[in-house]
Amino acid sequence: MDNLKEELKKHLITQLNLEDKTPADIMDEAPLFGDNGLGLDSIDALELIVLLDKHYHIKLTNPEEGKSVFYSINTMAEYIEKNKK
Amino acid sequence: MKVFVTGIGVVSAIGLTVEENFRSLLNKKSGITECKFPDDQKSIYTGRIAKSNSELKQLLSITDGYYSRTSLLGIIAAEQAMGNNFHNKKLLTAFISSTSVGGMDETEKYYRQVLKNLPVDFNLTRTHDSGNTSENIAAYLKFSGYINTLSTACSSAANAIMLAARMIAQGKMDRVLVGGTDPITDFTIKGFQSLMIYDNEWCKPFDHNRNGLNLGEGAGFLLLEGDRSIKISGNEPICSLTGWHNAADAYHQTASSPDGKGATIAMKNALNKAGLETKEISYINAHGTGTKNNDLSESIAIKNVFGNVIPPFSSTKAFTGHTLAAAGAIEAVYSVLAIKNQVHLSGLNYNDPLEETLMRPVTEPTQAVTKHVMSNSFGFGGNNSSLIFSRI
Amino acid sequence: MKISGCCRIHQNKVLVNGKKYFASDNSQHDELSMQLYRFLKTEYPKFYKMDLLSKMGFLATEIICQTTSAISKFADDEIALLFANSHSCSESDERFNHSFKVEKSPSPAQFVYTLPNILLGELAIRNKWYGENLFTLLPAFSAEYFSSQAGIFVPQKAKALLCGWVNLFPVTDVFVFFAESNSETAQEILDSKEIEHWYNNIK
Repeated sequence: MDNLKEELKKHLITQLNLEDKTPADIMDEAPLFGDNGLGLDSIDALELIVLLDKHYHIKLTNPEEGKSVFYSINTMAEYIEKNKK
Repeated sequence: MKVFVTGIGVVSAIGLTVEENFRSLLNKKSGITECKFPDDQKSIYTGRIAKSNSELKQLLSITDGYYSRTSLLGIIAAEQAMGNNFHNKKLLTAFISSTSVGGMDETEKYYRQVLKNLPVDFNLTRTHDSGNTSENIAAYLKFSGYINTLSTACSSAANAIMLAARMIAQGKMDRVLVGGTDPITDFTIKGFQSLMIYDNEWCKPFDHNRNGLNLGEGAGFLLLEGDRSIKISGNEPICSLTGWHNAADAYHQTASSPDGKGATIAMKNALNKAGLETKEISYINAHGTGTKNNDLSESIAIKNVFGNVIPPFSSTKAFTGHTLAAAGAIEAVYSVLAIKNQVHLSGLNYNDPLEETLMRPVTEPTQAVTKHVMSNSFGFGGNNSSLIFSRI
Repeated sequence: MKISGCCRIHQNKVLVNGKKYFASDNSQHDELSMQLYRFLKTEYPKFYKMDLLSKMGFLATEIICQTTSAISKFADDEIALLFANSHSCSESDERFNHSFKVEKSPSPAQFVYTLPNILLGELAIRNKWYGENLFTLLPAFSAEYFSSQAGIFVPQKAKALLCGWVNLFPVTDVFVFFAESNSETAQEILDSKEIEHWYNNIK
C-alpha cells in the first residue's frame, strides 16, 4: 500500500505538471482539491481519471464519483486496491 | 450611428436555409441524431449537416482547390446573408469571420494518412489555418479589403458581430458581413468527451437532469449596415443591433464561475449600451449548452441581472447542437428571426427546472410581442459576450 | 494614448522598455520560460500547467505588472486585453492530437489549451481583470492593427489596453505593452510608429 501511495504521488506530479512539488510535499491524508490542499481543479480531476485508466486500467465514467475517490492519496490508493484488475 | 441588420444566412443541422431553420424551430424538430464515427465503437449524438463535402462543393459549383468543411459551410451562410448586395464602390465593406477549429477536419484527414503510412497530401494542411477559412469565403464572394478572423472559443461569432457593430457605429466601415463557422471534428468530440461534458443522449439545456452538450456544425452570417449604407443600398432593415458587451469571467480556463460574474457583467453592460431596462427584454436566446456548469452559472447570472422578473428564455442548442464558434452567429440569426416573426423560440428535451434557481425555459414556440432580444455566448477562457437585437 | 510600459521577448532575450532585463543561455521555449519564471520569483503553481503560448504571454504580462506602476490605477474592468499571433495555438493542437491519436487517451488538460484565447483567460484569472478581451489571428505582426483596434476599443468601457503579440515560431517573438488613455477626449490615437519602434527595439 505504501509503495502504491509513493507511486501515485509520482504519477500525480508528472500527470498534473506539479513541477514545484516532490512526493514528500504531498501528505497521504491531505485533501488534493481546494485551496487548503494541493489546489487541484476540475481539469486535474479529469486528468486523474485518465491516470487511473492509463496506469491501473480502472475506468471511472462518472466525474461525480471522482469527488470521493480523489479526496486524498489515501482514498485514491484504497480505491485502486479495491478495483484493480 | 445606428447598426442595422439587413441580411441573414444560416446553415445548420436543422436546415440549409434560413426558412428551413425557422420551420424546424417552429415544428420543434431537432437536427441532433445518433450516428457512428469511423474511428469509434460507440455511436454518439451530434448535430450534423446531411451533406458531404463533395455535395456541398457541387452546391456551390466549386470544382477545384482545397476547401475545409469550415469554409464550405461558411460560404453557404455568407452568400445567403449577402443576398443581392453585391459590390458597391461607394461603400466601405468589411468581412469578419470566426472559427474555433479552422481547417481541422482536413488536417485530420492528413493525420490519418500519416498514421496509416499512406501517401500524404500536404495541401490538406494548407486549410488548417483559421485565416484560410475566412480567406476562402471572402474569395468566393469576391471580397477584398478588410478581412479579419476572430477566435475566442464559443463566443467567437458574438465577438465578431460586436467588432463589426463598433466599426459601423464609429463610421470606420459602412457595412460588414460578419459571422462564424465550425464543422464537427474528431478533435472537438474527443476534447469535450475528455472534459466529460459530452452527453451520451440528447442534450437537455436548463433541465435538472442535464448531462452535457452535443456538438453540432454549421455557420451563420449577418449583413450589418450603417445609416449611410442603408441610404445607398436601399435595403430594408430587419431589425437593429443596439447592445453589446464582452467581459472576462476571470475564474477558470473552462468552467464558468459559480456566481456568473463575467456573464452578469456582459448582460448588464449590453443593456446599458442599448439604453434598456431589464423589463424591456422580450426574450433571451441563452448560451444554454446543457452542461451542468454552464446552465447553472448562466441561470444565476440571469437572476443577478433580471431579479425576479425573468424574461422568457431558451437554448436553441437542443436543435442544432453546440456549434462552437458559429453558435453566436447562428443564434444571432435566430434572435433576428424571433423579432422578425414576433415569436419566442423554445428549447427541447426539458422536464424539470434546476433546483437551485427553479427557472423554466420556453418549451413551446410562442407568438408574442418581441421588441428586444438578448443573445448570450460564453466561451472557454471565461470570454463572455451578450448582444441585444431590437425591433425597429 | 501613451505606451507606459512594454516587454519584448525575442529568442533568448528579454527587454523591458527597451532595456535588457534578462537573458537566457537557452532559446528553447521550455527552458527559456522556466528560467524566466524562476527569475521573476513569482509563486503561481498554475503556471506549470499552462501551454507554451500561455506561459509566454503570462511571463511578459507579469513583467509589465511588476515594472509598470500605472497599471494599478485602473479598475478591474477598465483594462481590455487585445492579443494576436499568427499560428493560433498550433503547438497545443499537435499535443492534443497526439494524446488521442497516438497515446489513445485524449488529455483534458491539453484540450483546454487548444484555443488561443485561453491565454487571455489565464491573464484575467491571474490578475482578476474583468474587462473585455479579444484574440485575433494575423498573418504577421502589425503595429497598424493594434493602433486601429485601440481606436475601436477605447471609446467603449476600456480606459487602458494590454496589447500582446505572442508568437512562438520560428523563434520566440513576444511583445506585450500597456497603453493608457491620457485624456478624456474620445478620439484618441495610439501611434503605430511608437508601437513599431518598441517592437523593433531588440538590440
